Amino acid sequence: MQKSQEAAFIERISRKLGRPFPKEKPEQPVRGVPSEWMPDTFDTEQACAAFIANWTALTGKAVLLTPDELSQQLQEVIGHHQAQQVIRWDDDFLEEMNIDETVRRTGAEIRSWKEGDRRELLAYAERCQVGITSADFAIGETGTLALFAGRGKGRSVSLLPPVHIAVFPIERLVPRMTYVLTYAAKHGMSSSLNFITGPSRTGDIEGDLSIGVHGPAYVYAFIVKK
Amino acid sequence: MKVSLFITCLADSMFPEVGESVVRILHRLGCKIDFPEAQTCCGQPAYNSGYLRETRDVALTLLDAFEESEYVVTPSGSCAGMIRHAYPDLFAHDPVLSSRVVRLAEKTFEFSQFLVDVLGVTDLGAELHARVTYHPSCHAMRLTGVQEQPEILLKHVKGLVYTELPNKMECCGFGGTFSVKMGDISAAMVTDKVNQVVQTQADILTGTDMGCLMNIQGRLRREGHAIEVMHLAQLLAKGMKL
Amino acid sequence: MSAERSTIKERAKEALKDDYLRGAVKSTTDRLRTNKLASQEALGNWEWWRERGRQIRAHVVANLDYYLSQLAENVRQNGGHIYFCETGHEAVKQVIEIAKRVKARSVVKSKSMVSEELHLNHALEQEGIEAVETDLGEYIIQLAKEGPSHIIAPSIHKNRHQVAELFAETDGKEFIPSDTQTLTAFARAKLREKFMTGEIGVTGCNFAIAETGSVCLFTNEGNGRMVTSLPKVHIAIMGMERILPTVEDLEVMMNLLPRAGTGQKLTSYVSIITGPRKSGEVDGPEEFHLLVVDNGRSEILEDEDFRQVLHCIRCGACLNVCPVYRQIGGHAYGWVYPGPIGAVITPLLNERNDQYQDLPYASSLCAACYEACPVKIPLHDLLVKLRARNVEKGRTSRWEKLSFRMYRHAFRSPKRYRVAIRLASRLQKPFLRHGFIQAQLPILNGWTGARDLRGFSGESFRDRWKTLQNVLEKDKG
Repeated sequence: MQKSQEAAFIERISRKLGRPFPKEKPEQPVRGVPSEWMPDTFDTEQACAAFIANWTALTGKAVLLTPDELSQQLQEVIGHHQAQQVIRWDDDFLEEMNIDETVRRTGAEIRSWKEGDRRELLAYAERCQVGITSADFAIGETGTLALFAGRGKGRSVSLLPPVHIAVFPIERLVPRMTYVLTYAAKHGMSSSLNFITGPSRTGDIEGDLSIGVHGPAYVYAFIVKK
Repeated sequence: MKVSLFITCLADSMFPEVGESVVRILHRLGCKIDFPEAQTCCGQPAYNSGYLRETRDVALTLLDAFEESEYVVTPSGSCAGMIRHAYPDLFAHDPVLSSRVVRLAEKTFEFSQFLVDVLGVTDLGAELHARVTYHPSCHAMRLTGVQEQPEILLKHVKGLVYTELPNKMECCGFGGTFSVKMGDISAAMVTDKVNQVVQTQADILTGTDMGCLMNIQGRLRREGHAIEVMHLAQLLAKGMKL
Repeated sequence: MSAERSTIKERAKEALKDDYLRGAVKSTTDRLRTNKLASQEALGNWEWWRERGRQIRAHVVANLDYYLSQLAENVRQNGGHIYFCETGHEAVKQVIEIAKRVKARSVVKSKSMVSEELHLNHALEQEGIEAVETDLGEYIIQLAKEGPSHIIAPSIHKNRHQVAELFAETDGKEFIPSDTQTLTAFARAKLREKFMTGEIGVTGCNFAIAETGSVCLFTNEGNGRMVTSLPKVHIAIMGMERILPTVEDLEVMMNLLPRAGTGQKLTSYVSIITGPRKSGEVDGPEEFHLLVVDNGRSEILEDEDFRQVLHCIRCGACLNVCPVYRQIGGHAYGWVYPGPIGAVITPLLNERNDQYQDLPYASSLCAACYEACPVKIPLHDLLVKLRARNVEKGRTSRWEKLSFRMYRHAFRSPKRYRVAIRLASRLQKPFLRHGFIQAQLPILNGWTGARDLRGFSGESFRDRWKTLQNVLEKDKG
């Protein structure tokens, strides 16, 4: 029944377009951005500098640092926000950076996003003051983080707590969105791919910018260079 | 250079002095001007109201009148826009008329555009001691490609103090039949425009379209402002003592 | 609001009396369009991008049958469900069916203009299911029991004091401070509860991607992410034309949509949702449903002139530059979509309803809308075409028809034209004072109500031409 409704719907559109359903995939006259938009090589440091500038312009904080400096900065931020509970992605890079140990040093509790009771995990994340994720890509041109949802990589970690900290190696930086979308098209889409460009914001009351309406109000990007 | 004047029905019947100024300036610049009397109107009043059959019948008078012309110059960015933007579509169904339309559209220019882009004139040697602001008409800007030309001409007038109109890109609320049909909205729009004109403290408001200028002038007068309103051609002719 | 059976002219007249509304709309649209200009300049060669956008949208709409069918295949491939709804009624029925099956008591919604077309919230509430708008602007107008008055800033017509009063009333409080931070925090707390407990998340869809079966959402607040991450079921509702062929094409829209809408390089969040959550994931919905809604759109496809209106990406840029919208706000347009795009799409989507056919007259045809449109829809031309359609279908008044018949008769002949302007010049004489008509004349009241009217010149240009020509001849000699 559902199928026939669909067939009728699509048939009607062909009719309105005044021709039969195309036998072959239609040729696109143009597709996406022009190819010169994505050169084979680029300067990571440059992309990183652009990212930091753009992320900062959006009221976020972005720092390029060593693993040692990371530990210190993380403790400062957690202290600054007086976080008691922290949630993080279950992620190799975060493990490598010994995030848990650093966080516990501040006296806060930290849990990672592991499979288990959904209701309980969401309730915990909702109580947290800080969520820590990595980032699959960071985009210089716009100051954007790309987060692919997946096992261990909960969507809520970067969404429910008022503070979001993303920790990732400098190698994840790309100059443009093109690299991420091309990668996604090639490797298959995750169930949810989120591009995050600064804090949650709204201008719905008198066009007045207000930060942190539903998602995080404070966003940090810690870019690690070993 | 041979130039035919398309006076437009509005300037013909209500602002003949605008036509005179255009003619005198072009004459001074060495153009040979003719006025084909078979012309009436570009058809825009009917077109904007959706009466396309009526539009075509009236538009044919222009096609006939200017068939032999080398250049057609008009003191209206809106009527030039009608010819250049709307005619091709209006006559698309008829290949013979279509090709006549293309020829007419190619040789039709708004007055300031003709001076600057075709004749390459920017300084008319005019002198006028006044504070002047300029309202760029929507159709001149968006349909006819009149951009900097009027301001270039104004800035070369000796003694003239040019003052930019705030929010100048916004429509004055004329819109032909719109100003009568949707009188309340139109009145609100022109009231905003008048406020901005007054803000400039100009002595003179000028422009390239008598429709818009008539609208703004009507409101200026109703509010009791003494700002003088004149077409760019009038202003330049005055400065050239023509 | 009594949009029923009133005319755009009457509704505009009401709106024009509301100084606050006009002030609020002007200042916000000013801000949005100034930001837009700055951000499009930063992109460089904006015209090139607009043309790219137009080509992509035109290609999709011209091959909509193919891309819809590809989209359907891929949505199913991803484990989602897709439904094709010819009418708004069918779409509503489908949502309610899903809601009943999962025994939902509460639906949390992220902004969707299509769902406004369907009156979905009302229908859900009739079934005893709570429907909560979670976009701050939508939340405000839902509490005020109004419709959106702007495509991307739905509560543009309300000031902070009105919002504070509304929130206080909702909460049974005397007073809530009216600074935006406090108001935002209030909404955050209230809506957070709803996000955590809602069983179904309903979203719109900025673009669906045929090749991957994905749905893409552009949001700033994060509510779109909430309702696609927390509830067990996600239902996305899309107008059938909102498709892009590939993920790569999305990048072009990522450059155009936020810049045109708010002047941002990118909205805070862009989420690409591809099916329900996969195994091993803890959050994200168990079920993903996509509703493709026609609701009058296929009627528009037939006519190639009007087909272009389906290229629209709902950025709201045409509203922000429209001098008419800026005076009267969104509600005066009487239906879901305001501004120039509303004046075009509303009469088309409600073709059989005479009530909306006067909207195309609410424009001075200044073409600012076309200039602002990131996919180059010639809205000013389409407005004229709709007026022409009204003439064709005999919807215009007898008086107007007669006027243009007379115009044609007089103006197609230079002789009769000359007689006509002489006659008009003579007839108006009694009304002239210093060359102007200052009195309010009944048939010209639209003009003379607020403006003096310049009279005809005693002598037309063509009357003067011979003399002028002689003077110039002499001058030469």
